Formats: sequence, structure tokens, C-alpha cells
Amino acid sequence: MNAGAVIYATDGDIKYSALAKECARRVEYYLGIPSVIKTGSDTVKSTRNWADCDAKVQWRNGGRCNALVDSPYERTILLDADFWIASDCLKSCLDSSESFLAHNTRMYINEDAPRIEKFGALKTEMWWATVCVFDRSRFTQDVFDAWHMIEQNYTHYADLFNFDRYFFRNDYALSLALLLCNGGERPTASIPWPLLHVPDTCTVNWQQPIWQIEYLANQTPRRIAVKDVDLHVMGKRNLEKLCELH
Amino acid sequence: MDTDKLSQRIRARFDHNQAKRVLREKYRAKMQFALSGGMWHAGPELITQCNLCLAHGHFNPVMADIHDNPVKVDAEELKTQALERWQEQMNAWHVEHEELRKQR
Repeated sequence: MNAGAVIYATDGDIKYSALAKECARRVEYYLGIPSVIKTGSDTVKSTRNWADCDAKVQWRNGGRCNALVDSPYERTILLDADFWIASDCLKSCLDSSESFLAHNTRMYINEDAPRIEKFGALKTEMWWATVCVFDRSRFTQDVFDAWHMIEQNYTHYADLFNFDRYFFRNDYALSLALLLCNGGERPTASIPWPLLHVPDTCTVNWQQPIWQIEYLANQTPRRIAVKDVDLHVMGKRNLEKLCELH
Repeated sequence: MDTDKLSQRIRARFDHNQAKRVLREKYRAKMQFALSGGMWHAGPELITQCNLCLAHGHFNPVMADIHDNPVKVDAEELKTQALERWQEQMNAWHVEHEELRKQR
């Protein structure tokens, strides 16, 4: 099977290109597939606050909807550069015959259970754009076309589903695209385990191959250690630490 | 040495319950596998289903995968892969669980 990963990285306040190179290295090591790194749209879509950063961080996250065109592979994993692969779990998704897979459940590393996030006044279920696995089927083509359309008309969809129009989120655009392409019904196929997030309120320390993650639980400092697990690392300070590793 | 950081780190107690929860999610993820175009969760339920089919002479049954897609499978192959993966990951889970218990 001709499979590979597409990683988007646009440098701004954070050197995503450095993260993307490390992400590509890990994709090859753990999944045994090649990667291409694409520079996303340079347009600043919005700014966002992170708990670990005083100033707002510029957010350049447009252009993911071009992943199908940008991918030279028959089956592709679309990855955020800040997704830290440390296992071969995603191989099972590459071998699946489902056209399009993304995470539907998520669990913050300091949370007690996986949850499905909902957004907007209609409490629409969220599908995470952090990791997507897709083929080149008609359905996938439709999903990316819809994703592109929603990105282009984000304000309209934000008003329709009543969510924040000023802060573009690929997760919302993807969720609505999947909803549209499933005829308004909830998609049934997803990556069958939760996306593990390390939130910006946590502090990470990498002591290979173990992550020491510190956080506050009821104002009390706590920590856990994890290894060989895929993590989505959030927060400017934590991401800078990852950049410094390489 | 930054003594403030050091004392804060010593105070930060290892959260055994949370580590256990994360470990459970990690190994649940590792128990998923793809075969014959379907996606499966390696565990007693799947192994029992395969055993039931084989016991009744249904060697190539149609079974629903975790996405509720009906998939025609080789029951013997599915059972072998499910059993191997389940035991391999349960053993790894056990080892890591014991390591975590020693953390302070």
C-alpha cells in the first residue's frame, strides 16, 4: 500500500517547521511510512491565549483542507506538527478500509475519562482535525471539498451553528464537513481510541523515553509519567521545549 | 540548582489514579487492529465470538467490526491475531502497571 503522512507547519511565534521535522522522523520510525511537510497558509487566522503565555499567540492554521491535493499517497495520515507520535497504534488505521477516520473522543492527560467535545448552540459533536486518516475515495473528496467550502465561508457557518466566528478552528470545519457528507447524520467511523491532549496548563519534562507531566489538581501539584503513547502537546512553553530538543 | 523548583517537584505527588487511567487508554488503543478491511478490538468478546463460529463449523463468517461494518473473515486467523495481541498487550500493561506502583 502506498501510504504516507502529510504534516502542515507554518512558522510564527512557534517554530512549527522544527516540530514538523521531528514529527516526520517519528512517523518514519514508529509507522514505517514516509512524510511530506507542507507549509500551510501564511495568513494569520486569529490570535489565541494560552495559559502558559502572557501575550496572545498568532494562529496560522488555514489550508489543511488542501491535504488531499497535497498528499502524494493513496492512504494518508494528516498530522498536526505538535502531535508527538510514540507508538505504532496508527498503523491499524492505515490498514483499515474506512475512507476517512478522525478522533471523536478526547482525553486531557489530567482528566478522569475520555469525552466527546461539543460546540456551538446546537451542541454539535466535534471531530478533531489533529490526526486524520483518509484514502482517495469519492467520500474523502467530498469531505475535503466541504471542509474547503466551510473554511471559505466560516462566518456564515459560525452564525448558523452559533459558535465563535473570530477564531478559526479546523476541528469545527472538519466536524461540519463530516456532518454534511453523512447527510446530516453523525459519522459512525472514528479512530477508536481517544486523542490524548497535554493541555497548556501542564508542564512537560522529557526524559527519554518518559514524559513527566506536572499539573495542578485542586491547587495541589501532581505529576504522572507516561511513555510510548501518542500525545497532542499544547501550550507555547511546552512546544518550545519540544523545539529545543532537536 | 533552583531550590524552589526542586522543592516544588518533590511536593508534586505522583498521581497513581491518573497514571492508571492514562495507562488504560494507552492499552485500549494498542488492542485495536485491522484485518480483512475491518477494525477489531482484541479481547475476550471477540475471541469468544470466533470460538463460537469455529465450534459450529463457520470458518468464514460475516462479523460486525467496531464500526458496525459487516466483514467476511477467516475466523481462525482473526482469533489467532486477537488472542496474540490481547495477551501481548495485557502482559505489557501488567509490567507497566507494576512499574508505576513503585513510583513515588
